[in-house]
Amino acid sequence: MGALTKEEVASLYRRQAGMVYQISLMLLKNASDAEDAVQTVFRRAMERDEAFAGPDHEKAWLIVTARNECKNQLRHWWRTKRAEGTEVDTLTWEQPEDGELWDMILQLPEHEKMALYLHYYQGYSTGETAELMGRNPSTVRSWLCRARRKLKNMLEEGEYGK
Amino acid sequence: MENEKLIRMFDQVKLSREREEAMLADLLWEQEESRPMRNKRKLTVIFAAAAAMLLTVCALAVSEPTWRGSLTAARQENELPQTELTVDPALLRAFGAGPEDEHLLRGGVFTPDIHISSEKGSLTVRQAWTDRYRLAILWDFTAPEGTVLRGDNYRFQGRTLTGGLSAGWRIGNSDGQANHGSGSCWADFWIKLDDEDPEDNHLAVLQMLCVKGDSPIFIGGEYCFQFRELNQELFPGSETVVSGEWSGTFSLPEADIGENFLVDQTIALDGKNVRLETLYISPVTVALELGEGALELRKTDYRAASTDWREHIFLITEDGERIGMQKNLGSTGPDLCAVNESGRFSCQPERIIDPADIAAVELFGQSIPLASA
Repeated sequence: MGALTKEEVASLYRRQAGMVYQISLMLLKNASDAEDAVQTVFRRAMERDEAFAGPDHEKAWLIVTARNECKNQLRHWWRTKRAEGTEVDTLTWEQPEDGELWDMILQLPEHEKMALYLHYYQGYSTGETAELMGRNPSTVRSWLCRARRKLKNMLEEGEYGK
Repeated sequence: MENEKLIRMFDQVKLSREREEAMLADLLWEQEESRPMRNKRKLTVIFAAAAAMLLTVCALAVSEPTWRGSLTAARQENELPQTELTVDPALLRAFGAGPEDEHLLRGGVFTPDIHISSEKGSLTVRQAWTDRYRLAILWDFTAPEGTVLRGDNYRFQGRTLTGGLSAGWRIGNSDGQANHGSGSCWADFWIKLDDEDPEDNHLAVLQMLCVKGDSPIFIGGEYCFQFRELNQELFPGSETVVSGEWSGTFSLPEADIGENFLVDQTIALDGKNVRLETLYISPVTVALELGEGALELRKTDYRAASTDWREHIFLITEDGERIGMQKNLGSTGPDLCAVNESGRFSCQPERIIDPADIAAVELFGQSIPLASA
């Protein structure tokens, strides 16, 4: 048992489970696997003997742990390979284009998805994103540029296909 | 693409409130279940945690905690734990990699559940590795007692319905279509691994397959084998050492350790204007898929090696390092397919690379930034 009380666990969960789920679903592309990853991440948080140093540390720790957990799961994907068409789409979209953008994001390599998510959605600078991902800021900027270009190409292809 | 669209989209990626509360309840129930075993330590833990937090708050008060400190600490605390699926040293050697490269190749490793035993010997897959264009399989074989396997090299082979030799394996498509090829569309070579006791009946061999021509890629497919013989290669010819039947099927990962870039540009390759459709980069593979104009390349006799493509391909890293291709592996020119007017060329970088570090590819003097792909 770690340093968190039941109330602290609940508070942490309600604060951050959404973010951990977003990362997990983006990387694993499967709702039930993403939920498993969320639970694993928070179990690890509960097992910590030390409290987080602050909100920044808490959030960063959860981001890195979620990413690592998902990467570990993906290495073992073939043990639980599912038949096609068994996964139910659990997301609902305000506009169809939101779902299309999500599908495009899912096609990007892991490092580009994470960089996009951390920089554009979580608001980390490229330097902060690089720190979280253990890379040079120039590398992260290159990934972001590459990802934006791919999304732009996919959007344009989608327009031509309509 | 506006940032607002990304933000709006991600805002909708969420659990329902009911599901989130149910998952939290599960987590808290787990915590409750473990509490009785640890009650005696809990008070101590609370006080220790409180003391630690107090010290932390004081430390924060006297110093200027920066985002950098928090993020670095979080990342360093979470260095990826060692997974049991590390790359077998024999596979590392096959790729010309050292222990320091192991983490770069780890993502392509998998262990098919293949263990076949009979009176004719037992065959196991120790480990396998794949990217889109290359598949490496480590086989462990124990022959019947008394069989000595001291030859320089061995390979497993099959037999056709009419009794002729065949490769004994095929790759099935992930979409369930009829299997392609009988081994003739893939480069297939076998290497006997270092043998501690050449006089015993144990053998380890590496089978390396490389996609050529217009054959399907490995990712997401199935490897199906039906071996009938273990043959010792005599150069020339071969000799059957053990006859039996070892057959099975295993899935190939869908997860790709490499990255496939859409290029779709006409560039000059070996003096001909050719449509470069995609560029693929993995830790051990650089591959070009060619389209319109590829057949013009047929006019070059690559067997004469007048132009060695491997000398004209370089990877450029984010730091500006220029990495050439290995010259002792693979073909000097592309495989071309007249039916599809397509071509494919693959080679291996001089060192094991991390695809995420590659900023551009230089082909025959032309730089293709991957950020623009």
